[in-house]
Amino acid sequence: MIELKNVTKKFGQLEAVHNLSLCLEKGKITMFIGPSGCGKTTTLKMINRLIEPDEGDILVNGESIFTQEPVALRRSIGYVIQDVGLFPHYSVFDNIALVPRLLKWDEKRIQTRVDELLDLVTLNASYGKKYPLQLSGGEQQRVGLARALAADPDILLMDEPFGAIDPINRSKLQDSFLEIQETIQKTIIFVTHDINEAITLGDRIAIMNAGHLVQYDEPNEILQNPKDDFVEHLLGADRNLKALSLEKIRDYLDEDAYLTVAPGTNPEQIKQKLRTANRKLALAVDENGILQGRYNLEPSSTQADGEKLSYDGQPVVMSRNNNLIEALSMMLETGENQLPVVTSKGKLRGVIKLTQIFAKVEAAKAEKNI
Amino acid sequence: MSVVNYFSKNTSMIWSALEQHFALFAISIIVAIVIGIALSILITDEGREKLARVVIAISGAALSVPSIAIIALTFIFVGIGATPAIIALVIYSIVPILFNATSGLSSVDQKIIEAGKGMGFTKSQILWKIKFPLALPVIIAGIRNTATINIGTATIAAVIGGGGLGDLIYIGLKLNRGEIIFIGSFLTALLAICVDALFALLEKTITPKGLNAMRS
Repeated sequence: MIELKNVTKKFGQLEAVHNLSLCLEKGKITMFIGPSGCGKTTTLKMINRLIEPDEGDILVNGESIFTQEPVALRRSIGYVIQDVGLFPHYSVFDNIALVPRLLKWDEKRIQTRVDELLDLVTLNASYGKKYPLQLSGGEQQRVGLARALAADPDILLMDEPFGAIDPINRSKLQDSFLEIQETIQKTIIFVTHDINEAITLGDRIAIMNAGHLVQYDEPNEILQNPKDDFVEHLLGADRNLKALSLEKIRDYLDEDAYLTVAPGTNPEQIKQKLRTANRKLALAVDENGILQGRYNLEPSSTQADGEKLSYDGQPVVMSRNNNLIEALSMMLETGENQLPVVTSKGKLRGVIKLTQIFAKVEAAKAEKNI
Repeated sequence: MSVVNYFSKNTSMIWSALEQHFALFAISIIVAIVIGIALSILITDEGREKLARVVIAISGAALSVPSIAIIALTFIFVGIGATPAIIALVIYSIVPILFNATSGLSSVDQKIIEAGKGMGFTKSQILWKIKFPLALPVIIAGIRNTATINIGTATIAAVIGGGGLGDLIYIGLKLNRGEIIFIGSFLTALLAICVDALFALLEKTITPKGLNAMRS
Protein backbone atom coordinates (compact mmCIF):
# COMPACT_ATOMS: atom_id res chain seq x y z
CA MET A 1 0.00 0.00 0.00
CA ILE A 2 1.17 3.50 -0.83
CA GLU A 3 0.21 6.42 1.34
CA LEU A 4 0.64 10.08 0.43
CA LYS A 5 0.52 12.44 3.39
CA ASN A 6 0.01 16.18 2.87
CA VAL A 7 2.27 16.21 -0.16
CA THR A 8 2.98 19.61 -1.73
CA LYS A 9 5.23 20.43 -4.66
CA LYS A 10 5.94 23.88 -6.04
CA PHE A 11 7.74 24.80 -9.23
CA GLY A 12 8.72 28.39 -8.61
CA GLN A 13 5.46 30.24 -8.04
CA LEU A 14 3.32 27.46 -9.44
CA GLU A 15 1.90 24.99 -6.97
CA ALA A 16 1.83 21.76 -8.98
CA VAL A 17 0.47 19.59 -6.17
CA HIS A 18 -1.29 21.02 -3.16
CA ASN A 19 -1.51 19.22 0.16
CA LEU A 20 -2.36 15.86 -1.39
CA SER A 21 -3.28 12.99 0.90
CA LEU A 22 -4.52 9.63 -0.28
CA CYS A 23 -4.05 5.89 0.08
CA LEU A 24 -3.42 3.69 -2.94
CA GLU A 25 -4.59 0.15 -2.44
CA LYS A 26 -2.30 -2.84 -2.80
CA GLY A 27 -2.85 -4.92 -5.93
CA LYS A 28 -5.23 -2.41 -7.49
CA ILE A 29 -5.04 -0.04 -10.43
CA THR A 30 -5.43 3.61 -9.42
CA MET A 31 -5.97 5.99 -12.31
CA PHE A 32 -4.88 9.62 -12.04
CA ILE A 33 -6.77 11.84 -14.43
CA GLY A 34 -7.19 15.56 -15.04
CA PRO A 35 -6.31 18.31 -17.53
CA SER A 36 -2.66 18.99 -18.38
CA GLY A 37 -0.86 20.70 -15.55
CA CYS A 38 -3.23 19.30 -12.92
CA GLY A 39 -0.34 17.62 -11.09
CA LYS A 40 -1.02 13.99 -12.01
CA THR A 41 2.39 13.30 -13.55
CA THR A 42 4.16 15.25 -10.80
CA THR A 43 2.41 13.04 -8.24
CA LEU A 44 3.51 9.91 -10.08
CA LYS A 45 7.11 11.05 -10.32
CA MET A 46 7.24 11.86 -6.62
CA ILE A 47 6.59 8.19 -5.85
CA ASN A 48 9.92 7.12 -7.41
CA ARG A 49 11.61 10.36 -6.37
CA LEU A 50 12.22 11.64 -9.89
CA ILE A 51 10.66 14.73 -8.34
CA GLU A 52 11.17 15.53 -4.67
CA PRO A 53 8.20 17.01 -2.84
CA ASP A 54 8.60 20.25 -0.88
CA GLU A 55 6.40 19.10 1.97
CA GLY A 56 4.73 15.93 3.19
CA ASP A 57 5.67 12.27 3.24
CA ILE A 58 5.13 9.24 1.05
CA LEU A 59 4.98 5.81 2.68
CA VAL A 60 5.27 2.45 0.94
CA ASN A 61 4.13 -0.39 3.20
CA GLY A 62 4.39 1.97 6.14
CA GLU A 63 7.97 2.99 5.40
CA SER A 64 8.92 6.45 4.18
CA ILE A 65 10.51 6.42 0.74
CA PHE A 66 12.75 9.28 1.81
CA THR A 67 14.74 6.98 4.06
CA GLN A 68 15.82 4.98 1.00
CA GLU A 69 18.47 5.61 -1.64
CA PRO A 70 16.68 6.99 -4.74
CA VAL A 71 18.56 4.59 -7.04
CA ALA A 72 17.65 1.53 -4.96
CA LEU A 73 14.06 2.76 -4.61
CA ARG A 74 13.69 3.17 -8.38
CA ARG A 75 15.04 -0.32 -9.05
CA SER A 76 12.27 -1.68 -6.82
CA ILE A 77 9.51 0.17 -8.72
CA GLY A 78 8.50 -0.52 -12.33
CA TYR A 79 8.31 2.54 -14.57
CA VAL A 80 6.58 2.88 -17.95
CA ILE A 81 6.39 6.17 -19.86
CA GLN A 82 4.42 7.40 -22.84
CA ASP A 83 7.08 7.20 -25.52
CA VAL A 84 8.23 3.95 -23.94
CA GLY A 85 11.83 5.15 -23.70
CA LEU A 86 13.23 1.83 -24.90
CA PHE A 87 16.97 2.04 -25.48
CA PRO A 88 17.31 2.00 -29.28
CA HIS A 89 20.85 0.62 -29.11
CA TYR A 90 19.81 -2.40 -27.05
CA SER A 91 17.92 -5.44 -28.35
CA VAL A 92 14.49 -6.22 -26.92
CA PHE A 93 16.11 -8.88 -24.75
CA ASP A 94 18.72 -6.47 -23.37
CA ASN A 95 16.07 -3.82 -22.77
CA ILE A 96 14.00 -6.19 -20.67
CA ALA A 97 17.12 -7.44 -18.89
CA LEU A 98 18.18 -3.91 -17.83
CA VAL A 99 17.01 -3.85 -14.24
CA PRO A 100 17.85 -7.51 -13.49
CA ARG A 101 21.38 -6.74 -14.72
CA LEU A 102 21.56 -3.63 -12.53
CA LEU A 103 20.57 -5.93 -9.67
CA LYS A 104 23.29 -8.38 -10.77
CA TRP A 105 21.11 -11.42 -11.39
CA ASP A 106 22.93 -14.31 -13.01
CA GLU A 107 22.45 -14.63 -16.79
CA LYS A 108 20.60 -17.92 -16.60
CA ARG A 109 17.95 -16.46 -14.34
CA ILE A 110 17.68 -13.40 -16.60
CA GLN A 111 17.19 -15.61 -19.66
CA THR A 112 14.34 -17.49 -17.98
CA ARG A 113 12.77 -14.28 -16.75
CA VAL A 114 12.87 -12.54 -20.15
CA ASP A 115 11.27 -15.55 -21.85
CA GLU A 116 8.60 -15.59 -19.18
CA LEU A 117 7.89 -11.87 -19.65
CA LEU A 118 7.78 -12.00 -23.46
CA ASP A 119 5.23 -14.76 -23.08
CA LEU A 120 3.27 -12.72 -20.54
CA VAL A 121 2.99 -9.72 -22.88
CA THR A 122 2.14 -12.15 -25.73
CA LEU A 123 5.24 -11.55 -27.83
CA ASN A 124 6.98 -14.45 -29.54
CA ALA A 125 10.37 -15.39 -28.00
CA SER A 126 12.02 -14.50 -31.33
CA TYR A 127 11.31 -10.83 -30.53
CA GLY A 128 14.19 -10.91 -28.07
CA LYS A 129 16.70 -10.45 -30.87
CA LYS A 130 14.90 -7.52 -32.52
CA TYR A 131 15.65 -3.86 -31.93
CA PRO A 132 13.08 -1.30 -30.76
CA LEU A 133 13.04 0.55 -34.10
CA GLN A 134 11.91 -2.66 -35.79
CA LEU A 135 8.76 -2.87 -33.66
CA SER A 136 5.34 -1.26 -34.03
CA GLY A 137 4.18 1.23 -31.39
CA GLY A 138 2.01 -1.39 -29.72
CA GLU A 139 4.81 -3.93 -29.64
CA GLN A 140 7.20 -1.36 -28.18
CA GLN A 141 4.68 -0.63 -25.45
CA ARG A 142 4.44 -4.33 -24.61
CA VAL A 143 8.22 -4.50 -24.34
CA GLY A 144 8.10 -1.38 -22.15
CA LEU A 145 5.68 -3.14 -19.82
CA ALA A 146 7.80 -6.31 -19.78
CA ARG A 147 10.87 -4.20 -18.97
CA ALA A 148 9.09 -2.52 -16.07
CA LEU A 149 8.02 -5.91 -14.71
CA ALA A 150 11.43 -7.54 -15.14
CA ALA A 151 12.59 -7.51 -11.53
CA ASP A 152 9.08 -8.32 -10.31
CA PRO A 153 8.44 -5.01 -8.50
CA ASP A 154 5.36 -4.68 -6.28
CA ILE A 155 4.61 -1.24 -7.64
CA LEU A 156 4.24 -0.12 -11.23
CA LEU A 157 4.16 3.54 -12.27
CA MET A 158 2.67 4.13 -15.70
CA ASP A 159 2.70 7.61 -17.22
CA GLU A 160 0.22 7.72 -20.12
CA PRO A 161 1.65 4.49 -21.48
CA PHE A 162 -0.93 4.10 -24.26
CA GLY A 163 -1.18 7.81 -25.09
CA ALA A 164 0.70 7.66 -28.38
CA ILE A 165 -1.04 4.54 -29.71
CA ASP A 166 -3.90 4.64 -32.24
CA PRO A 167 -7.40 3.94 -30.82
CA ILE A 168 -7.77 0.39 -32.19
CA ASN A 169 -4.43 -0.82 -30.89
CA ARG A 170 -4.92 1.10 -27.67
CA SER A 171 -8.06 -0.82 -26.84
CA LYS A 172 -6.26 -4.09 -27.66
CA LEU A 173 -3.41 -3.08 -25.36
CA GLN A 174 -5.83 -2.12 -22.62
CA ASP A 175 -7.47 -5.54 -22.86
CA SER A 176 -4.23 -7.42 -22.61
CA PHE A 177 -3.03 -5.08 -19.88
CA LEU A 178 -6.07 -5.99 -17.76
CA GLU A 179 -5.52 -9.65 -18.49
CA ILE A 180 -1.89 -9.34 -17.43
CA GLN A 181 -2.85 -7.50 -14.25
CA GLU A 182 -5.20 -10.38 -13.37
CA THR A 183 -2.12 -12.60 -13.23
CA ILE A 184 0.41 -10.22 -11.70
CA GLN A 185 -1.78 -8.30 -9.20
CA LYS A 186 0.57 -5.32 -8.92
CA THR A 187 -0.14 -2.03 -7.21
CA ILE A 188 -0.41 0.20 -10.27
CA ILE A 189 -0.46 3.98 -10.49
CA PHE A 190 -1.60 4.93 -13.98
CA VAL A 191 -1.71 8.50 -15.30
CA THR A 192 -4.03 9.22 -18.22
CA HIS A 193 -5.94 12.12 -19.77
CA ASP A 194 -8.52 9.81 -21.34
CA ILE A 195 -11.61 9.41 -19.19
CA ASN A 196 -12.66 6.26 -21.05
CA GLU A 197 -9.30 4.70 -20.29
CA ALA A 198 -9.66 5.69 -16.64
CA ILE A 199 -13.09 4.07 -16.44
CA THR A 200 -12.08 0.94 -18.35
CA LEU A 201 -8.88 0.21 -16.46
CA GLY A 202 -9.29 1.75 -13.03
CA ASP A 203 -10.21 0.01 -9.82
CA ARG A 204 -10.17 3.52 -8.42
CA ILE A 205 -9.93 6.93 -10.07
CA ALA A 206 -8.28 10.01 -8.59
CA ILE A 207 -9.50 13.14 -10.38
CA MET A 208 -7.17 16.11 -10.08
CA ASN A 209 -7.47 19.75 -11.05
CA ALA A 210 -4.92 22.55 -10.55
CA GLY A 211 -2.93 20.56 -8.01
CA HIS A 212 -5.91 19.56 -5.93
CA LEU A 213 -7.55 16.17 -5.53
CA VAL A 214 -11.18 16.69 -6.59
CA GLN A 215 -12.65 13.21 -6.23
CA TYR A 216 -11.20 9.81 -5.38
CA ASP A 217 -13.48 6.84 -5.72
CA GLU A 218 -14.47 3.74 -7.64
CA PRO A 219 -15.42 4.40 -11.29
CA ASN A 220 -19.02 3.37 -10.70
CA GLU A 221 -19.39 5.77 -7.79
CA ILE A 222 -17.82 8.62 -9.75
CA LEU A 223 -20.13 8.00 -12.71
CA GLN A 224 -23.20 7.93 -10.51
CA ASN A 225 -22.26 10.70 -8.10
CA PRO A 226 -19.91 13.18 -9.69
CA LYS A 227 -18.80 15.53 -6.96
CA ASP A 228 -19.04 18.80 -8.85
CA ASP A 229 -19.39 20.43 -12.27
CA PHE A 230 -15.74 19.86 -13.05
CA VAL A 231 -16.07 16.09 -12.64
CA GLU A 232 -19.37 16.01 -14.51
CA HIS A 233 -17.81 17.92 -17.38
CA LEU A 234 -14.82 15.60 -17.41
CA LEU A 235 -17.09 12.55 -17.58
CA GLY A 236 -18.98 13.96 -20.58
CA ALA A 237 -22.65 13.96 -21.50
CA ASP A 238 -22.87 10.21 -22.06
CA ARG A 239 -21.91 9.17 -18.58
CA ASN A 240 -24.94 6.87 -18.27
CA LEU A 241 -23.79 5.01 -21.34
CA LYS A 242 -20.26 4.96 -19.90
CA ALA A 243 -21.67 3.16 -16.86
CA LEU A 244 -22.41 0.26 -19.19
CA SER A 245 -18.77 0.28 -20.23
CA LEU A 246 -17.85 -0.59 -16.64
CA GLU A 247 -19.52 -3.94 -17.04
CA LYS A 248 -16.99 -6.50 -18.20
CA ILE A 249 -17.98 -9.32 -20.52
CA ARG A 250 -16.32 -11.80 -18.14
CA ASP A 251 -19.16 -11.23 -15.65
CA TYR A 252 -21.81 -12.00 -18.26
CA LEU A 253 -20.37 -15.13 -19.82
CA ASP A 254 -22.78 -17.83 -20.90
CA GLU A 255 -21.20 -21.27 -21.02
CA ASP A 256 -24.40 -23.05 -21.81
CA ALA A 257 -25.76 -21.40 -24.93
CA TYR A 258 -23.68 -23.43 -27.38
CA LEU A 259 -22.18 -26.81 -28.11
CA THR A 260 -18.50 -27.49 -28.65
CA VAL A 261 -17.34 -29.81 -31.39
CA ALA A 262 -13.96 -31.02 -32.63
CA PRO A 263 -12.75 -29.28 -35.80
CA GLY A 264 -13.70 -31.25 -38.92
CA THR A 265 -16.77 -32.93 -37.42
CA ASN A 266 -19.30 -33.98 -40.04
CA PRO A 267 -21.78 -31.08 -40.59
CA GLU A 268 -24.80 -33.40 -40.64
CA GLN A 269 -23.78 -34.73 -37.26
CA ILE A 270 -23.44 -31.18 -35.89
CA LYS A 271 -26.88 -30.31 -37.24
CA GLN A 272 -28.37 -33.34 -35.48
CA LYS A 273 -26.63 -32.52 -32.21
CA LEU A 274 -27.77 -28.88 -32.27
CA ARG A 275 -31.36 -29.91 -32.90
CA THR A 276 -31.35 -32.43 -30.10
CA ALA A 277 -29.85 -29.91 -27.67
CA ASN A 278 -32.12 -27.14 -28.96
CA ARG A 279 -29.18 -24.80 -29.67
CA LYS A 280 -28.32 -22.64 -32.68
CA LEU A 281 -24.59 -22.26 -32.17
CA ALA A 282 -21.75 -24.80 -32.25
CA LEU A 283 -18.13 -23.79 -31.71
CA ALA A 284 -15.22 -25.79 -33.10
CA VAL A 285 -12.50 -26.12 -30.46
CA ASP A 286 -9.22 -28.00 -30.83
CA GLU A 287 -7.58 -30.22 -28.21
CA ASN A 288 -5.93 -27.17 -26.57
CA GLY A 289 -9.22 -25.38 -26.11
CA ILE A 290 -8.43 -22.90 -28.90
CA LEU A 291 -11.43 -21.67 -30.88
CA GLN A 292 -11.17 -22.65 -34.55
CA GLY A 293 -14.54 -21.71 -36.04
CA ARG A 294 -18.26 -21.33 -35.50
CA TYR A 295 -21.29 -23.13 -36.93
CA ASN A 296 -24.61 -21.33 -37.04
CA LEU A 297 -27.86 -23.17 -37.55
CA GLU A 298 -30.04 -20.80 -39.58
CA PRO A 299 -33.50 -21.01 -41.12
CA SER A 300 -33.33 -21.67 -44.87
CA SER A 301 -36.05 -22.07 -47.50
CA THR A 302 -33.80 -23.95 -49.89
CA GLN A 303 -33.01 -26.82 -47.53
CA ALA A 304 -35.45 -29.71 -47.35
CA ASP A 305 -35.44 -29.67 -43.56
CA GLY A 306 -35.85 -25.86 -43.44
CA GLU A 307 -32.47 -25.20 -41.78
CA LYS A 308 -28.91 -24.82 -43.02
CA LEU A 309 -25.62 -24.98 -41.21
CA SER A 310 -23.18 -22.16 -42.03
CA TYR A 311 -19.51 -22.23 -41.08
CA ASP A 312 -17.18 -19.33 -40.33
CA GLY A 313 -13.49 -20.25 -40.03
CA GLN A 314 -12.51 -16.83 -38.74
CA PRO A 315 -15.27 -15.88 -36.36
CA VAL A 316 -15.43 -12.47 -34.73
CA VAL A 317 -14.52 -12.88 -31.05
CA MET A 318 -14.55 -10.74 -27.93
CA SER A 319 -12.07 -10.73 -25.09
CA ARG A 320 -13.16 -11.35 -21.51
CA ASN A 321 -12.09 -7.88 -20.49
CA ASN A 322 -14.05 -6.09 -23.20
CA ASN A 323 -17.03 -4.25 -21.83
CA LEU A 324 -20.68 -4.51 -22.75
CA ILE A 325 -20.59 -1.41 -24.98
CA GLU A 326 -17.84 -2.96 -27.06
CA ALA A 327 -19.79 -6.21 -27.32
CA LEU A 328 -22.94 -4.34 -28.31
CA SER A 329 -21.24 -2.36 -31.05
CA MET A 330 -19.57 -5.49 -32.40
CA MET A 331 -22.95 -7.26 -32.51
CA LEU A 332 -24.47 -4.34 -34.39
CA GLU A 333 -21.60 -4.47 -36.84
CA THR A 334 -21.64 -8.21 -37.48
CA GLY A 335 -25.36 -8.86 -37.15
CA GLU A 336 -24.70 -11.76 -34.76
CA ASN A 337 -26.65 -11.94 -31.52
CA GLN A 338 -24.07 -13.99 -29.71
CA LEU A 339 -20.30 -13.76 -29.88
CA PRO A 340 -17.68 -16.20 -28.61
CA VAL A 341 -15.37 -14.91 -25.90
CA VAL A 342 -11.73 -15.99 -25.84
CA THR A 343 -8.52 -15.31 -23.90
CA SER A 344 -5.58 -13.51 -25.48
CA LYS A 345 -4.22 -16.90 -26.49
CA GLY A 346 -7.47 -17.79 -28.27
CA LYS A 347 -8.92 -20.19 -25.69
CA LEU A 348 -12.71 -20.33 -25.65
CA ARG A 349 -14.29 -19.13 -22.41
CA GLY A 350 -17.98 -18.83 -23.31
CA VAL A 351 -20.28 -16.58 -25.29
CA ILE A 352 -21.80 -13.16 -24.71
CA LYS A 353 -25.48 -12.81 -25.74
CA LEU A 354 -27.36 -9.73 -26.90
CA THR A 355 -30.26 -10.64 -24.63
CA GLN A 356 -27.99 -10.33 -21.59
CA ILE A 357 -26.90 -6.83 -22.57
CA PHE A 358 -30.54 -5.81 -22.96
CA ALA A 359 -31.34 -7.29 -19.58
CA LYS A 360 -28.59 -5.13 -18.05
CA VAL A 361 -29.97 -1.99 -19.73
CA GLU A 362 -33.46 -2.83 -18.43
CA ALA A 363 -32.10 -3.34 -14.93
CA ALA A 364 -30.29 0.01 -15.03
CA LYS A 365 -33.48 1.68 -16.22
CA ALA A 366 -35.44 0.14 -13.35
CA GLU A 367 -32.81 1.36 -10.88
CA LYS A 368 -33.10 4.92 -12.21
CA ASN A 369 -36.87 4.89 -11.83
CA ILE A 370 -36.83 4.05 -8.17
CA MET B 1 59.40 12.95 -64.86
CA SER B 2 61.14 15.27 -62.46
CA VAL B 3 58.67 14.15 -59.77
CA VAL B 4 59.80 10.52 -60.07
CA ASN B 5 63.35 11.68 -60.25
CA TYR B 6 63.23 13.78 -57.10
CA PHE B 7 61.27 11.09 -55.30
CA SER B 8 63.75 8.32 -56.09
CA LYS B 9 66.71 10.46 -55.04
CA ASN B 10 65.17 11.66 -51.77
CA THR B 11 63.08 8.66 -50.73
CA SER B 12 64.38 8.46 -47.18
CA MET B 13 63.95 12.23 -46.58
CA ILE B 14 60.40 12.16 -47.95
CA TRP B 15 59.61 9.07 -45.90
CA SER B 16 60.80 10.68 -42.68
CA ALA B 17 58.79 13.83 -43.50
CA LEU B 18 55.71 11.62 -43.90
CA GLU B 19 56.48 9.90 -40.59
CA GLN B 20 56.91 13.24 -38.86
CA HIS B 21 53.68 14.47 -40.34
CA PHE B 22 51.81 11.41 -39.16
CA ALA B 23 53.30 11.82 -35.68
CA LEU B 24 52.21 15.48 -35.53
CA PHE B 25 48.72 14.42 -36.54
CA ALA B 26 48.44 11.35 -34.31
CA ILE B 27 49.74 12.96 -31.13
CA SER B 28 47.72 16.14 -31.52
CA ILE B 29 44.47 14.39 -32.44
CA ILE B 30 44.71 11.93 -29.53
CA VAL B 31 45.29 14.73 -27.04
CA ALA B 32 42.46 16.76 -28.63
CA ILE B 33 40.08 13.78 -28.49
CA VAL B 34 40.79 13.15 -24.82
CA ILE B 35 40.45 16.80 -23.82
CA GLY B 36 37.51 17.51 -26.16
CA ILE B 37 35.43 14.54 -25.07
CA ALA B 38 36.22 14.98 -21.38
CA LEU B 39 35.16 18.62 -21.59
CA SER B 40 31.97 17.79 -23.47
CA ILE B 41 31.02 15.14 -20.90
CA LEU B 42 31.61 17.65 -18.15
CA ILE B 43 29.47 20.37 -19.67
CA THR B 44 26.61 18.14 -20.80
CA ASP B 45 26.07 16.83 -17.29
CA GLU B 46 22.56 17.23 -15.92
CA GLY B 47 21.76 20.78 -14.85
CA ARG B 48 24.41 22.33 -17.10
CA GLU B 49 22.23 22.59 -20.21
CA LYS B 50 22.79 26.35 -20.36
CA LEU B 51 26.57 25.96 -20.25
CA ALA B 52 26.37 23.33 -23.00
CA ARG B 53 24.40 25.74 -25.21
CA VAL B 54 26.95 28.49 -24.60
CA VAL B 55 29.85 26.17 -25.43
CA ILE B 56 28.13 24.99 -28.61
CA ALA B 57 27.66 28.62 -29.67
CA ILE B 58 31.22 29.69 -28.84
CA SER B 59 32.90 26.63 -30.34
CA GLY B 60 30.70 26.99 -33.42
CA ALA B 61 32.01 30.52 -33.87
CA ALA B 62 35.57 29.49 -33.02
CA LEU B 63 35.50 27.06 -35.95
CA SER B 64 35.92 30.04 -38.25
CA VAL B 65 39.20 31.24 -36.69
CA PRO B 66 41.89 30.64 -39.36
CA SER B 67 44.52 28.03 -38.59
CA ILE B 68 47.41 30.37 -39.38
CA ALA B 69 46.19 32.75 -36.66
CA ILE B 70 46.29 30.01 -34.04
CA ILE B 71 49.73 28.88 -35.17
CA ALA B 72 51.00 32.46 -35.06
CA LEU B 73 49.61 32.95 -31.55
CA THR B 74 51.18 29.70 -30.33
CA PHE B 75 54.48 30.83 -31.77
CA ILE B 76 54.31 34.06 -29.78
CA PHE B 77 53.67 32.26 -26.49
CA VAL B 78 55.55 28.97 -26.87
CA GLY B 79 58.22 29.56 -29.50
CA ILE B 80 59.25 27.26 -32.34
CA GLY B 81 59.73 23.52 -32.76
CA ALA B 82 57.64 20.37 -32.86
CA THR B 83 56.06 20.90 -29.43
CA PRO B 84 54.57 24.31 -30.25
CA ALA B 85 53.30 22.84 -33.54
CA ILE B 86 51.58 20.04 -31.67
CA ILE B 87 50.12 22.50 -29.16
CA ALA B 88 48.73 24.61 -31.99
CA LEU B 89 47.23 21.56 -33.67
CA VAL B 90 45.66 20.40 -30.40
CA ILE B 91 44.05 23.81 -29.86
CA TYR B 92 42.83 23.86 -33.43
CA SER B 93 41.42 20.30 -33.24
CA ILE B 94 39.69 20.54 -29.86
CA VAL B 95 37.09 22.97 -31.13
CA PRO B 96 35.33 20.79 -33.75
CA ILE B 97 35.62 17.67 -31.56
CA LEU B 98 34.13 19.52 -28.59
CA PHE B 99 31.43 21.03 -30.81
CA ASN B 100 30.31 17.65 -32.17
CA ALA B 101 30.59 15.73 -28.92
CA THR B 102 28.64 18.38 -27.03
CA SER B 103 25.84 18.52 -29.59
CA GLY B 104 25.79 14.71 -29.79
CA LEU B 105 25.60 14.21 -26.04
CA SER B 106 23.02 16.94 -25.47
CA SER B 107 20.75 15.73 -28.27
CA VAL B 108 20.14 12.29 -26.77
CA ASP B 109 16.37 11.91 -26.30
CA GLN B 110 15.43 13.13 -22.82
CA LYS B 111 12.70 10.47 -22.63
CA ILE B 112 15.29 7.70 -22.87
CA ILE B 113 17.42 9.32 -20.19
CA GLU B 114 14.39 9.73 -17.96
CA ALA B 115 13.42 6.10 -18.49
CA GLY B 116 16.93 5.08 -17.45
CA LYS B 117 16.82 7.31 -14.42
CA GLY B 118 13.37 6.02 -13.46
CA MET B 119 14.63 2.45 -13.66
CA GLY B 120 17.43 3.17 -11.21
CA PHE B 121 20.46 3.91 -13.38
CA THR B 122 23.16 5.83 -11.55
CA LYS B 123 24.57 8.99 -13.10
CA SER B 124 27.62 7.26 -14.52
CA GLN B 125 25.49 4.39 -15.87
CA ILE B 126 23.31 6.94 -17.66
CA LEU B 127 26.42 8.46 -19.19
CA TRP B 128 28.22 5.29 -20.24
CA LYS B 129 25.29 3.01 -21.04
CA ILE B 130 22.87 5.49 -22.58
CA LYS B 131 24.22 8.90 -23.53
CA PHE B 132 27.69 7.97 -24.76
CA PRO B 133 26.78 5.02 -27.02
CA LEU B 134 23.86 6.96 -28.51
CA ALA B 135 26.04 10.02 -29.18
CA LEU B 136 28.97 7.96 -30.45
CA PRO B 137 28.15 8.19 -34.18
CA VAL B 138 28.06 12.01 -33.95
CA ILE B 139 31.25 12.09 -31.86
CA ILE B 140 33.11 9.87 -34.36
CA ALA B 141 31.86 11.97 -37.26
CA GLY B 142 33.33 15.03 -35.53
CA ILE B 143 36.67 13.31 -35.01
CA ARG B 144 36.69 12.17 -38.63
CA ASN B 145 36.19 15.73 -39.90
CA THR B 146 38.77 17.06 -37.51
CA ALA B 147 41.32 14.44 -38.55
CA THR B 148 41.34 15.54 -42.20
CA ILE B 149 41.45 19.22 -41.24
CA ASN B 150 44.27 18.45 -38.81
CA ILE B 151 46.39 16.72 -41.47
CA GLY B 152 45.98 19.69 -43.80
CA THR B 153 46.71 22.23 -41.10
CA ALA B 154 49.82 20.32 -40.01
CA THR B 155 51.52 21.44 -43.25
CA ILE B 156 51.32 25.03 -42.00
CA ALA B 157 53.01 23.92 -38.77
CA ALA B 158 56.24 23.80 -40.81
CA VAL B 159 56.28 27.60 -40.54
CA ILE B 160 57.13 27.33 -36.85
CA GLY B 161 59.49 24.40 -37.25
CA GLY B 162 57.04 21.60 -36.81
CA GLY B 163 58.53 19.53 -39.63
CA GLY B 164 56.51 17.06 -41.63
CA LEU B 165 55.29 17.27 -45.21
CA GLY B 166 54.91 21.04 -44.84
CA ASP B 167 58.72 21.25 -44.99
CA LEU B 168 58.66 19.80 -48.50
CA ILE B 169 56.11 22.36 -49.63
CA TYR B 170 58.16 25.25 -48.20
CA ILE B 171 61.40 23.98 -49.70
CA GLY B 172 59.63 23.69 -53.04
CA LEU B 173 58.27 27.22 -52.72
CA LYS B 174 61.67 28.64 -51.83
CA LEU B 175 63.51 26.79 -54.60
CA ASN B 176 60.60 27.41 -56.95
CA ARG B 177 60.44 23.70 -57.77
CA GLY B 178 56.94 22.48 -58.57
CA GLU B 179 57.76 18.77 -58.25
CA ILE B 180 58.72 19.12 -54.58
CA ILE B 181 55.55 21.11 -53.82
CA PHE B 182 53.59 18.45 -55.68
CA ILE B 183 55.06 15.56 -53.71
CA GLY B 184 54.43 17.35 -50.40
CA SER B 185 50.83 18.22 -51.22
CA PHE B 186 50.08 14.88 -52.84
CA LEU B 187 51.31 12.88 -49.85
CA THR B 188 49.38 15.15 -47.47
CA ALA B 189 46.19 14.58 -49.46
CA LEU B 190 46.86 10.84 -49.65
CA LEU B 191 47.38 10.65 -45.91
CA ALA B 192 44.17 12.58 -45.31
CA ILE B 193 42.19 10.31 -47.62
CA CYS B 194 43.54 7.16 -45.96
CA VAL B 195 42.81 8.43 -42.46
CA ASP B 196 39.33 9.52 -43.54
CA ALA B 197 38.61 6.09 -45.00
CA LEU B 198 39.77 4.48 -41.77
CA PHE B 199 37.44 6.64 -39.72
CA ALA B 200 34.56 5.96 -42.12
CA LEU B 201 35.07 2.26 -41.43
CA LEU B 202 35.25 2.91 -37.69
CA GLU B 203 32.07 4.98 -37.84
CA LYS B 204 30.27 2.12 -39.51
CA THR B 205 31.39 -0.57 -37.09
CA ILE B 206 30.89 1.53 -34.00
CA THR B 207 27.32 2.72 -34.68
CA PRO B 208 25.08 0.67 -32.35
CA LYS B 209 23.32 -2.05 -34.29
CA GLY B 210 19.85 -1.02 -33.21
CA LEU B 211 20.23 2.47 -34.67
CA ASN B 212 20.68 1.09 -38.16
CA ALA B 213 17.89 -1.42 -37.81
CA MET B 214 15.31 -0.58 -40.41
CA ARG B 215 11.69 -1.36 -39.75
CA SER B 216 10.83 -4.64 -41.38
